[in-house]
Amino acid sequence: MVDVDTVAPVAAVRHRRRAVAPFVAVALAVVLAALVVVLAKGKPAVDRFAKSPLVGKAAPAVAGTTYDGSEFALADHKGSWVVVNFFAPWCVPCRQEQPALASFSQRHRVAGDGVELVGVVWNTPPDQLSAFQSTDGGDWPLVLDPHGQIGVDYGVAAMPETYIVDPSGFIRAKFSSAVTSDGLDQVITDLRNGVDPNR
Amino acid sequence: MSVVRSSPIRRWLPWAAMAVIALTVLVLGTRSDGAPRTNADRIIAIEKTVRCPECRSQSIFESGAVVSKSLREFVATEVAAGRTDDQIRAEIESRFPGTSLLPPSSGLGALVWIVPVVATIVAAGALTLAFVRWSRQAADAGGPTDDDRALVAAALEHFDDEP
Amino acid sequence: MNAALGIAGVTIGLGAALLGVISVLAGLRQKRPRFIAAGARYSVIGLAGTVLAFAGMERALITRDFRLAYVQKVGGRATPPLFNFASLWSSLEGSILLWTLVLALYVALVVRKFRRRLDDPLMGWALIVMFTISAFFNALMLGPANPFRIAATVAADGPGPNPLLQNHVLMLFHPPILYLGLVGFSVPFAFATAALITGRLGEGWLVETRRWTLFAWGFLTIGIVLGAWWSYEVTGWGGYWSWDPVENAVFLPWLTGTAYIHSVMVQERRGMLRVWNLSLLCATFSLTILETFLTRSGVLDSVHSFSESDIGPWLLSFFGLVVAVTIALIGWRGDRLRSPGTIDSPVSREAAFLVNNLLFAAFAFVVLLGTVFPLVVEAVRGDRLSVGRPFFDRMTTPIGLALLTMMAIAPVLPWRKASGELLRARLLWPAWMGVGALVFAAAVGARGFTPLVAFGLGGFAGGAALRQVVLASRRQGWRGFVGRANGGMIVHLGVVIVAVAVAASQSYAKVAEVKLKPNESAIVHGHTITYLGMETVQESNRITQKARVRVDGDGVYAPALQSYDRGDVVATPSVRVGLKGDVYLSLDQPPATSGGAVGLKVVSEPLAMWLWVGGGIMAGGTALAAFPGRRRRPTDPVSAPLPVDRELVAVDG
Repeated sequence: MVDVDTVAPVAAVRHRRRAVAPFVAVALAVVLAALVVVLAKGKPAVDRFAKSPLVGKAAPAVAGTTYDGSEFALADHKGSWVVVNFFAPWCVPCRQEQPALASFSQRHRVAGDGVELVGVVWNTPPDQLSAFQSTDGGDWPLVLDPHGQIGVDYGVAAMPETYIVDPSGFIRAKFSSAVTSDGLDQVITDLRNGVDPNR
Repeated sequence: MSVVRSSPIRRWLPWAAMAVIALTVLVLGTRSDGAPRTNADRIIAIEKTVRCPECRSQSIFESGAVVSKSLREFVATEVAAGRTDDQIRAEIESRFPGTSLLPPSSGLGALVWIVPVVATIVAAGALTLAFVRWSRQAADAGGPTDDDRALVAAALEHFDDEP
Repeated sequence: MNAALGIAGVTIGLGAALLGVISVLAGLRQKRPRFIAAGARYSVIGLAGTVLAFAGMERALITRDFRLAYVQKVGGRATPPLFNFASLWSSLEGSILLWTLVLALYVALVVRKFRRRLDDPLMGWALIVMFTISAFFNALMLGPANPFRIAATVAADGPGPNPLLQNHVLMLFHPPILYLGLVGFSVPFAFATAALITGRLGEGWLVETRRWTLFAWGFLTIGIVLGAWWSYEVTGWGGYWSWDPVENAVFLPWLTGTAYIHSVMVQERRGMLRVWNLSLLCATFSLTILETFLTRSGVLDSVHSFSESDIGPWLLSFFGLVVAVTIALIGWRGDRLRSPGTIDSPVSREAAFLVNNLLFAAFAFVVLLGTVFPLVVEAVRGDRLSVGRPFFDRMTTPIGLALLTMMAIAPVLPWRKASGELLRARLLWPAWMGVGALVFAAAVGARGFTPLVAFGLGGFAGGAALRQVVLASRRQGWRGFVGRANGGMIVHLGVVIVAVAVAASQSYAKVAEVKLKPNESAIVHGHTITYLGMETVQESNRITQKARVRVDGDGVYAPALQSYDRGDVVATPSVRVGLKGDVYLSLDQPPATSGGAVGLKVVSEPLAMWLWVGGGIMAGGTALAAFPGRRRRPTDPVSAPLPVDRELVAVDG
């Protein structure tokens, strides 16, 4: 390979030249090392636990017509622990948690211990619900939210999400994924005993 | 060598004319035509500054996600109800934290807006200083030194050698 | 069988790369040139191995061999054949396989092209670097990103690739072309590293690899433009760039690469800006590795991200290693690189290229900062913060306008020093064109400070480029369109067209939603939209609901919703392309009942098609720039005489 230029040192230069390169190199290395550290600490988005800003605040209203035509309002249920479950029939994990919710609802209805379940049908036109109800449906009230506005009030971004509202109407816990009957029971027991389930 | 020199006015006239035309067009073109922003415009402007909670970078204006649709309806309802842009954005941020795309005015988040501006100013300053220094060096350089002459003479000695 | 073929191929690839490194190293240590040449021949074996692995995977996909976990993830019996072929690179492990194949191809090509110089130690070190990179990617495929893993469970069918990756033909072209660009930068990087290691920092290596760099840059440009076009065709609102983290990750090496191919001219002419050039080149390669990390690690989730796997730490470590080694090398040799020459006058081409470097560096800095800033905030405070279009648009628009200005002035600047008179004379007609463009734009109704300035500067820069091309073709006939300078001016023309189209489509796009009953019309943004009715089509793996819409009385378009068997619903917009702008239709809400009203979104997007035309001109200009010039061998001094009789075709590189 022909080198057009020579490698003759530039020592015979008239101007003073400090050895700048090592300092710049070190500075750059520090900045880039910081970048690598930041990137290494980044969790894959799937693992991120979204803290709900609503925990500890008054629960927004869940009010409207239910699937079977009656009216529901969360405010009427002060005095009970209410589990508010946001779901949609086109969401696969929601369908998977239906049996857990059914057994949860059944158990507490029989026990009569002031724990209730209400579902919010998020962003679904009512006619898409009938097929779902016949196969997977439960017997707790399903409030219709065809434009997702109750969801906006609760900060719901994806399905399924479940909130636990205490007898005074305050949100105490949020689940960002499918729930189990035992999981719900455990959290409610903790809250009743004054243990904070939010890590 | 004789050079025909046109008067300075003639030399600069076309440029002055261009500057005048350009400035006029820019001023006229930038002046708003006075019509107030419609609600539809306001809605779109707000939507472009809220990130879709399910996406990493798309605004609710751009995103096709279901939650974006709900949020777009929310914005439309609130604008119709007369709330201000800031109130609507604050309401959404309180429900969906971390979705505001506007610059935070203080704190760590403001750094992302400040650092590039500061870096550009510093770089521009350094560049100007460097240019000034180099121009001065070039002016100070003077003529060739004896070392330079010796270097050239040595090279010329071998100029006609076979490669 | 397919898995065995594949694993064998990858192992051969890894083995060949490692043996290549060892052999060349031995040859360098013992000063035996024959070892270097032997080591180089391992590149062919490595290529054969990777081709074997690629063939094994394609065979598995085509025969629907669901024993492989990867085929279970992306294969499907109902997937159409071409998309099935392309599903190889639709997910993480397969994309690494494609990367490795392109890399093996480049290594083999380099060995072939420089086959007469394999006894040169600089060549040897370059080969070592390339073999090392190749070994790394092959090793990834034997470890965390193994495409040939046998699945734990048996499956009879698969879901097919992600529906977003099978509803457009660009899926076949965008990734391979993008990889040809990204991976291509490994070649000049390897030579730069070799030059640093051997201390032979003259211009020879740089000039020899000039054409390789140009090809890599050209493919990267085409890849990015195709990605934007694909985005345009499938998002529901006519967007083509959303500052998505993965888009930014691919844009970063393009920015530093563009700075490099300009700044390198200063080094060729005057031996200056050497540290800049080496830094830019090494930064470009490092950014391609950062791109693979950001796309695959799931750290910045986006529309593009491949699924999460544990490949992240490996890629990040490799990135850290590359950065550490190049900083160490440049820091060690840096002071030897400083040239005795200086930039005498701020009004000179050298100075313009230096300013250019700073502008591109600022651009890249802003994009990188905005992309990783959410991670910084989360690492420091644990909060979530979003950085999106408002930030990027606001920060990059001034830089873009400054670059347009440089594009107008720099091509007419002479080296060393320019006088005001000379500048005035050369810039007069381009300036008139700029003012003319500004007036024309305002006359046809464009309003707003930033777009008007963009149109004016675009006219100015376009005029400067056009002036160069006209002068060159007058002097040299058809040769005035080829060669580095002239091809470069044509690329500039393409950039100007893209810039003007971006300004127009961003500033003046209008969105409207309309509900129409069958055979009902509406006038939207000056266009007559008539809804004709719905049509449902059953395909092998999806059901497509099309809304037939007539626009302006001629031409029927069919925005659609595709419901895939695997459950996803994907919207497929339909675009009426026009010289003045596109009418972009998307099916928002299908009718609830048959014969009911349909919800359509209509976007009017001015000058959208010129984005793709401009991109094509950039690609064409790059090809012209790579065309060998008549003037002289690249390694001759600038003062060498021009050949009069013989056509001197430029030598390799």
